[in-house]
Amino acid sequence: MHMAIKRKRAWRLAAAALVLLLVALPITAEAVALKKGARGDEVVTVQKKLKQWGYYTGAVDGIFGSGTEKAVKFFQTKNGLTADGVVGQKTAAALGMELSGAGAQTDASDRSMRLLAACIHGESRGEPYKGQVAVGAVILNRVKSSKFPNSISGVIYQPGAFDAVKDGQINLEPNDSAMRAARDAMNGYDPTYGCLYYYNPATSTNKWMLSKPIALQIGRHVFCY
Amino acid sequence: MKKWLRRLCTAVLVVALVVAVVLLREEHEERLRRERDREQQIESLYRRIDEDLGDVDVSLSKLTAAASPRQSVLLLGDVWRSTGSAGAAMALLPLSHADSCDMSQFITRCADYAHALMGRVLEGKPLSDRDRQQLDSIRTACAEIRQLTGTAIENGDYLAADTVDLGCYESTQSEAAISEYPTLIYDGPFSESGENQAPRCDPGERISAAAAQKKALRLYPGATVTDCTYVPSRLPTYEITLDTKDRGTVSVSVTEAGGRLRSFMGTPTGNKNDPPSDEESEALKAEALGVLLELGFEDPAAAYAQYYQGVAVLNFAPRQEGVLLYSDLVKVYMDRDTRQVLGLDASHYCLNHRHRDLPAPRLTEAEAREAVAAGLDIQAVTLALIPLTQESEVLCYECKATRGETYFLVYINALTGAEEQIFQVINSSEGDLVV
Repeated sequence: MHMAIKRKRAWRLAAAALVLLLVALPITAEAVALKKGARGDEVVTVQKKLKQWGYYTGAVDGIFGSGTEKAVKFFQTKNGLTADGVVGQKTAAALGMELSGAGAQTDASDRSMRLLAACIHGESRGEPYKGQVAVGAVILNRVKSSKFPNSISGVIYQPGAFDAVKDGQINLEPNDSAMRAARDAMNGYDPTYGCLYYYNPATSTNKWMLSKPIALQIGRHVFCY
Repeated sequence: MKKWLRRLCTAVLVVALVVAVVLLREEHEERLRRERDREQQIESLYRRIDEDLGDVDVSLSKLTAAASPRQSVLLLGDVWRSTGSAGAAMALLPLSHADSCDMSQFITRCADYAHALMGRVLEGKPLSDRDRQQLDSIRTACAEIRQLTGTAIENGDYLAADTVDLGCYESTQSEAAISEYPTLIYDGPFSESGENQAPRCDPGERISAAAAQKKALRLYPGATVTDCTYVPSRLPTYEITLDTKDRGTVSVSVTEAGGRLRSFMGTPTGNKNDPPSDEESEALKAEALGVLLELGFEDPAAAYAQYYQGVAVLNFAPRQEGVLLYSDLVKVYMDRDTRQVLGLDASHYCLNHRHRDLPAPRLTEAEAREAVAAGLDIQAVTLALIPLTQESEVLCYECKATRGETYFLVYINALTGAEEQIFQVINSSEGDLVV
């Protein structure tokens, strides 16, 4: 009987430890997010940036109140992010800032470039270099088109638009070739001459896409307007 | 089997079963929670589109009663913000692009049109009868879209829910459409005329594929043509692939009309990433300029430059009567190791270059300097023709100015004195970034 009680205690302790661990994990993950109620220098940075870009009209006081939350939501909607009013890693990246403990600082344009390179890498790894620039050019042509979201992140994260986003390959580290392709595409090099779509004719079964007149083929991808 | 062992096995199995049931239940609840979250997110996006388009209707209604430019601009600003917000919400919905792109395009153009009208009213130009009619047609279309969103919200029947597994480009045949989207005639980056703008270059005689290949081979003597594709782009072009003896595979494109060299691109030999010395950047600039003149580009002036992964990208603006033509910008790609030209992108030049009838400036350079914001230290002033929209260019004084460590390009209209554009130039380790 005494042994049974001890075992029960041990089980309870183990279960409590497990529960504590499970509860602690999300807290650790959220530690680098700023949301309503937060205070400090990072909130000041967020408010300054939002104010500078016309999203926020309140005081830069370092207090994350409902005005700041509303401005963050507005910024998120304009940049194709989930509008939850919380400055997590993705929103911080779009704001061109790093939250504490999140690594070295790089600027917003570098982040856009890296996101473009990651998408190129995930979508066209193994294609000829020109084909990689072409994928980057299609993304940038979409940004300039009225039919698509008007930011790089908005186009890339448009639901269902890119396989690399769906299967998570966008999270792979882009190689040098993808980085250079992203830079060339950002510089205006467009081997597709304005195309908005591409697909692999060997694998695509999409009727709508297949009905589009083909402008040119680079590697395994065909490109169309 | 011993009794205690049997009991232990039974206990282990019971515990494993309980753990499995708990885990399965948790997973099921988690899945339900995620589905609920997703449905709520979709509903919230639908509601936001509905509310935003409702706000557009109210603002446009008020606009019909507005007499002052100030009130008109404020209301158009509301339309711009609300349509922008609706467009952003729409982009987040897992809708079939095939079915919803017309609606997205309409909403984007509404925002763009409102922005263009704000600019016009600020310039002192009142809304025309055509603008009033177009704004009315926007109200009608928005009301029809709200009927769709309203029905979806009331019935909990969201189009997005059916399309999520089909992918972005598979039509659901249940089109997110209204009877007709109005055509909006205006001058803006997303306008129909802007997006489908015909090339404005001087028309030239059409050349054959053979002539285009000959032109490409002049760049790389001794190379072999491995492919020649006719690309029916906005400016139809022959895309020629060459197998060169010493530079690998190179792509050269030549326009069909006029047989102009549009672009060529090779592969760099090195991977230099460090900022160039003054000597290197001047040498690269001189080499690029020489090649441009050899290729027949008129009076190009070096603008900004970037350096990355073994490449230097030098931007040149052609000049006419000493005026910089920024719409006709040419980019030269240089190999930093060999200091040889690696590639060229003259797409803007091919699309836009022509002889312009440039007006005489009404402002003096001194007056332009006066128009620049106080506190800016002006370093240099030059005349430049800049694109304001897809369809219009204005003659400006380009004032290079600094405030502390920050470097700006301020463009003052040489005819009216209006402050037309401001760019900030960010000097980074990779060169100049103009934002």
